[in-house]
Amino acid sequence: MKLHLFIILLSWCIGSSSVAQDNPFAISEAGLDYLTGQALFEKIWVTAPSSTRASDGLGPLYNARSCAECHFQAGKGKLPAALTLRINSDFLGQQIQSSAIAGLPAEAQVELSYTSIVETLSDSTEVILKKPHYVLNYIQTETGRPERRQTEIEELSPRFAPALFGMGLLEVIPLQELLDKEDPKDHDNDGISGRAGPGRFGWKADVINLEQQTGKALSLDIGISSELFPNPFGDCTQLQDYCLSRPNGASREDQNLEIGPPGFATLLYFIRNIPLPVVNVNNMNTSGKEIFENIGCQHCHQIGYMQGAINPYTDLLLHDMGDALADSFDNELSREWRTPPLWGLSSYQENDEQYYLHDGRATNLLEAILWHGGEAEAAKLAFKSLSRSARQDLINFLQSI
Amino acid sequence: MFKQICTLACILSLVGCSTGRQDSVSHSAILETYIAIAQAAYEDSLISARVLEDAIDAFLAEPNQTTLTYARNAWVAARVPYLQTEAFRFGNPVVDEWEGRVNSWPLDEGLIDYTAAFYGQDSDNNYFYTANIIANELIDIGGISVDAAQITPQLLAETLHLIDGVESNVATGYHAIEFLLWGQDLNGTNPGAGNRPASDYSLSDCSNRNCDRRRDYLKAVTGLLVSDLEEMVYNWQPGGAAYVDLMQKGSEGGLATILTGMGSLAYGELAGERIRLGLLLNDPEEEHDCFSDNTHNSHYYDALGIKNVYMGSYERINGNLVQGPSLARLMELEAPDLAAVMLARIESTELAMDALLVEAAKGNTFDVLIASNNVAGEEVVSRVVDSLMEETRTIEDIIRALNLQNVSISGSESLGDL
Ligand code: HEC
Ligand code: HEC
Repeated sequence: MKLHLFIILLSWCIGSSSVAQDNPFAISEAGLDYLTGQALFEKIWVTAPSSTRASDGLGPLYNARSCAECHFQAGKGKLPAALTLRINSDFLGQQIQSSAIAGLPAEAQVELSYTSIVETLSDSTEVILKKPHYVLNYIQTETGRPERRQTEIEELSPRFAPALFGMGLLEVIPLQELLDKEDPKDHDNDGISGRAGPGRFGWKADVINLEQQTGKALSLDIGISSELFPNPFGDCTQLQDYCLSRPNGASREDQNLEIGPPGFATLLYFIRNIPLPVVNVNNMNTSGKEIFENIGCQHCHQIGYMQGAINPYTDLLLHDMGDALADSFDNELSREWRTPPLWGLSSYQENDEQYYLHDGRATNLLEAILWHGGEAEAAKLAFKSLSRSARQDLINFLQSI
Repeated sequence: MFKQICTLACILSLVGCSTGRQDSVSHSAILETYIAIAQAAYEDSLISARVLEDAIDAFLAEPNQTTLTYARNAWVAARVPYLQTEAFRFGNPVVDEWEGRVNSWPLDEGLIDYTAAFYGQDSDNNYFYTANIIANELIDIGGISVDAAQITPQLLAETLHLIDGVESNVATGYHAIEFLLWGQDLNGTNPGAGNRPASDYSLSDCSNRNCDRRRDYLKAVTGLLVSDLEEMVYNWQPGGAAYVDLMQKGSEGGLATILTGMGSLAYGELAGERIRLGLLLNDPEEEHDCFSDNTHNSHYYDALGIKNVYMGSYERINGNLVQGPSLARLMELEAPDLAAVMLARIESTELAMDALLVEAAKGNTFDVLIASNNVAGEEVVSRVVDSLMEETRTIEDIIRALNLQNVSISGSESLGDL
């Protein structure tokens, strides 16, 4: 019953330096830090008036005004708000910011459309999968005038906001335990060749720790500068002079940050201690769990770190997931995605709108599994040939973790 | 380490140590007092909102510095009973769901009216972003087009408030009125509140343009506040939604609701979100009543509201006392030592809050106290946080002593049930 809570407690006992030692759920200093951090997570950043020395606040360019807008109750977000588009542009920077402070144009408006693909399972059940397409309207150009016609951008990598449950536990898994699971040349011939990315966070495993991830999110998604990412203009590039010319008040000469070290530390404390939803182990579908293991899902969605204390159902490694899931970046990583943790899937309630995969394209677990390809092709084929009731057991299992 | 695990385990299992009951204070009598205080405090809020509405009418009839000052004073007075009702918010879902309409904060001023030059005047690209409802009959936010030719209560409440799902698009409630009466506080963490000229509402000598539409806005938003409060007064009458909800919880559940409300307001909301966060960020935007610089009062009356429901006693705006059997009395009978501790906690919170008022009287309002490098200010504010935290711990002890189930003191609604 209190398994996950116990895991959290256990992770304190193990006492890694990066996980706080205090109980964040008691009425105490630490508890107040947790709640204050949560308030920061939910804080809606606004444009502060020019004479406020303490902060410039939001933007100038941003995707959302609070962390919680994308990570709803620290879980996943909703489309389209929680979707960001990574790009590779000298002019627009690393990411399309679809909002801007008053008086500034946003970088573009994103239009989302889908084409349908029909998948047929072995018992001839038909499932409709929706593949997303992105078109940009009113994209900003170097002429200083937005392009009014629709633009298809060549290099685009959509990223949907993941759930943040148990992030602090993923952070304390010793690196060696992850490297032990690597098999880039597929020496064991199981068709699966996971390799470690530069880090363990983000859909491309490109962020090394939660401190970096939090700083990056503040800067890129909300336009808030912090010690790690001190540029007050966020993702506004040197070429976007219309954006750089925004008055920045005293803050530049002061090196005054939009969020100072104490505030940042408090937000980070919260992120590191977000608990997993409490699950009832007795409700776990054991035959579903067996099927999960038998058809090879657990090769990537792994458990048992730190002597079995941490069971996130991920190896945190990158895998080639096939063309259908690839982004359009022109590099060897375009087909590769980090295995997402599956713990916390139980947080979705019966009638919630659900979003799965790196761009949120799948609206239920069945679709999410059917999009698997590449290294996961064999596991998917095995899944497709399961009987209807075995399929349902597997899905019930996923919904119970 | 094990001590912590144990503490948590204890909390989870809520080991009780309830002693034999003496029936001199029944749970249902305590609930009756609680409801009577709710009725009186919401009624007082409504009465003073109507006074505010009259003052605003008088101001609009003749906009000058004097009538504006009257209207501002009426706003400050209207906050007094309202803030004392905040102890009813957590634990009573009917109140919590409604609260956003009347007390949402922080708000993005640019949605409502003109703001300081930093917001930029060049609206070359205004098909992307033109909020400022007062200046624009047609607004376009995040791809949503809104016809704002007539500024009506419906437009504000149903269309603009929280437009585009953004929580800071606050178009209604006390803080929207506050902004319209004071304007932006451009003093940052230096002394001084907002300083909007009365002529912003003058038809003959209009400053900052669109005075007619600004008048319409102020009128509509004040009317909405009054009707929202009417609704809440009704909710607490026998048969009203809040009343029925509470009755359905039974007497144990009712006591749990009272204590949840006290603890959640003291701890997560006041100590955490409204006070500690401001201190951490040194950010005047974190000031609760930021345009009027009335934040010290806001904190003070919140704490008083907590005391009211515990002591079973509320002083109405006309000086009358609403009083009855209370949790305080129950504790005196059941656990006199703990009862004494709780009284001491309430008193030390009161002293800490008093210090805020004293500082404010000297010109050191909350936004000044939280400025970075204001060491003395930080000390005053930290004392408030610490005493609220102590008070919450004692509230938790009371919950244990009464052996109440299903109480969770949370910082705010969202992650409470994780
Ligand atoms: C505009 C939407 C958006 C906002 C706002 C946002 N995030 Fe995220 N977040 C994302 C997306 C998208 C990802 C995945 C990023 C990637 O794959 O590169 C992500 C990833 C993360 C991760 C890593 C999760 C993992 O499984 O690796 C953390 C931690 C995180 N965000 C924290 C925050 C914090 C803290 C804030 C507020 C400061 C924030 N986010 C604001 C969209 C958002
Ligand atoms: C080769 C490694 C691999 C195997 C094998 C694998 N997965 Fe995955 N899984 C991934 C990766 C990588 C993603 C993310 C892909 C993306 O978002 O584009 C993913 C995503 C998912 C998701 C969506 C999670 C979310 O929150 O969005 C679910 C559910 C899932 N897998 C279940 C399964 C099941 C069930 C199986 C067995 C049939 C399985 N996976 C086999 C690597 C794998």
